[in-house]
Amino acid sequence: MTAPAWPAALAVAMVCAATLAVGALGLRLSRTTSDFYVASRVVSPRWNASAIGGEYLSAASFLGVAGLVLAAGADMLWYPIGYTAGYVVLLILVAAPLRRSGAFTLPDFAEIRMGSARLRRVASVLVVGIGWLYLLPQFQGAGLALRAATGAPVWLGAVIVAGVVVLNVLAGGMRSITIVQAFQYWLKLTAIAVPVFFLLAVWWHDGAPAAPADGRPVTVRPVTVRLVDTVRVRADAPTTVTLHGVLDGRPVDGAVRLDPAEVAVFSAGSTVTLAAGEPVPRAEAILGRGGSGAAPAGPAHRDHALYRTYSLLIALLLGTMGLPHVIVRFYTNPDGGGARRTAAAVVGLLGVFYLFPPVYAALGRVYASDLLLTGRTDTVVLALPSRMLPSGAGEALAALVMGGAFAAFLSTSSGLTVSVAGVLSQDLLRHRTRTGVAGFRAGAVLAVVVPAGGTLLATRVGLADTVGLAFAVAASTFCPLLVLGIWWRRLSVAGALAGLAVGGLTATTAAVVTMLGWVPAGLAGALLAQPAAWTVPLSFAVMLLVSLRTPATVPAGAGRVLTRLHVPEAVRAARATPPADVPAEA
Amino acid sequence: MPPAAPADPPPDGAARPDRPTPSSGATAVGGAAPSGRTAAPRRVRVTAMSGQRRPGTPVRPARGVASRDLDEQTVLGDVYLRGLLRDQRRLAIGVLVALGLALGLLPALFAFAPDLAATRVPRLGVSLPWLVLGVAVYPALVLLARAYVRGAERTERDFTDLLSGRPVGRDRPRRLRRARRRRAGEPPAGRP
Repeated sequence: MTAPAWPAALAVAMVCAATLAVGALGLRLSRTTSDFYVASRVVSPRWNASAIGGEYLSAASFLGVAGLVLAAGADMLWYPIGYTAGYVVLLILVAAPLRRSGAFTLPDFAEIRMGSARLRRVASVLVVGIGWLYLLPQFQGAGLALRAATGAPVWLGAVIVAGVVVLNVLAGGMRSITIVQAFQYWLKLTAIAVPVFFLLAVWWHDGAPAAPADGRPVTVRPVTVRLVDTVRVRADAPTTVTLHGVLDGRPVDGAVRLDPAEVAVFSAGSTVTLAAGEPVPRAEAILGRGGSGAAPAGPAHRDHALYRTYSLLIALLLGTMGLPHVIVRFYTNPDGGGARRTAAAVVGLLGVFYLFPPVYAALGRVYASDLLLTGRTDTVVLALPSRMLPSGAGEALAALVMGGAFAAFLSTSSGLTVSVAGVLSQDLLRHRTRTGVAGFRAGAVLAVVVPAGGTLLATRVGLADTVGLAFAVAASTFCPLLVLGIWWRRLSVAGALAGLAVGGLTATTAAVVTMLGWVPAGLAGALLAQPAAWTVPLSFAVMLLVSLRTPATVPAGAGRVLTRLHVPEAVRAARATPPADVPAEA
Repeated sequence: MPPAAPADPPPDGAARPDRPTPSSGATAVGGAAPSGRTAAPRRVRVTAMSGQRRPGTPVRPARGVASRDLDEQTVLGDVYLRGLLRDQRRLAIGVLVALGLALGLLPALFAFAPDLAATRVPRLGVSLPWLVLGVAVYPALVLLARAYVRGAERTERDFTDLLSGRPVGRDRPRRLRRARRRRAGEPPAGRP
């Protein structure tokens, strides 16, 4: 990257310091186990909505959405829509009843509703698995962003984020996290919104050059890029580039014609120049699976696009409610109505945020089309300010964006760590530690160390792939459990177990197969790459049918639990008033 | 879809605490209108199910007693719960269908009408899908979420009013109340 290292590094340091400082405030307030888990349930809808927004907007939203849209066009706008609409579905189906269930975590809910310790264990394993899957790309993204901005090694960003999160969670737990998260939503919104206005002003001043509509990206102005890494590129249409360097192992100096369907390998250190109006050859990494901007964009991955879009929508809409860090946040509302108002407010906050990443993508098509060539589309949000603006302002805004990106990594990782730690300490470490708080702290360390270790082992799993996998698995497991558990009293323990097993195994298998690259072409490939459209109905069907066949394992208190989930708190409050008051009030 | 009857055995009607007779004060609260008009039809069905009261008789349970039915899983409590679940489920399905139609039709629309998808928005330099998917969708989602919250809170308020013997829907304009009464007045299918 061309951005100078120091302003960005300073911004990262400041965000980390501010996060720790605000967290320390919470330390003075949180003293009991209940404080640690759910902030003693006194958080107002407005605070809680900001906190949820701060927690939910991860690296995938802050950097990934703009990168995906830059790489693959308007189809990728379904990602932010799905992330937002997932909260509408969550609001409608689970928010208030889940809060009223009085459970701390998803396994708690499974036990309260179904009264089965076995189901609770299965749910715990799923929560930890989904949480780790979601933490891994956060740490990875932090490393990549820090490298892009300052040239630091990838592991450093991951270690910084993991360290700050552990310190913060150890110190204050959930209450401090609530303040931190709420602060970080507004920081992230500022960081992504403010530069947009400057960038749009520059674009307007340049005569509002338009990138071609979707489909094949074409350079709007001449681009010269010096490659840091070796890239494998593929052209959509015949294109001519001027190359000074090494192509396919042969030194070249001059114009080269690239044909579609042929992979060209540009070695590191080469300089590539594209004339204006030429189609941009795109890096293989962003054409298919495996790259950080994995998108169904290449010729081989464009088949069954409509199926992929619908399946993605299903995964995002139904998966949101099954993410452990999303659900745990609703327990901090004072009552069911508060949970509902919180969820509705979150929809608004997310909607405002997601207006901005597509603007970066659209501007990136005009000003940064070389990122398609190098495959580093995920850095478009970080790269645009320093490219488009004069050096002083560009550096300042680039630093602001970098701070926002780190806020994204920190907040999502904190929320995930808290929820995974909660489940770990309640279900795995309960009998091994003396106090609840000690158990929570041990759980927090374990929750971070495993995915951080995974990052250091340099897995080749892409950022969006892993996030998508987490959504698909959540949609295929916890979504049926929550929806049927809340709205259907004949759900049986055997049915719930069977549904979780079938949904979890099929979704995980499909996604792992996809990530390992064993995907066949054609329909089978599409079904495996976007499994939610068939694994979710399958899981629902198994849960329904097995429940109907095993009425003996329907929990005895199902009616009572459903009453608790759906009856408004006002009724319970009325019952609590002493009978003597009744005639006077009636 | 409403679930079929649960397997748990209905407790004996005698085990249920007796409904108190309506006090004069309770009548005064809802007394502005004749009781047959004010009482929600839901209440009529409740008494029919309990088999102990003539349909149409005003039921004004004292505050708190009806909710005890909910906790103690009496037949009456079960009917209350089913009514609440049915109303909430109907609302949820309605909003979900609206969401599904709004989002679900867009990909097909852009896929099968490439001309529409290729339409350029003047002066912005982007095509129509960018504007629809990048901007217009979000206010619609916010409105949908707000509409659901309002609907769900209204259902709960009605339920609370019903249990505490207040006239249901007194906080709403008359027109809405009438429409709601008309709708709820139809005898539900499958019930005697």
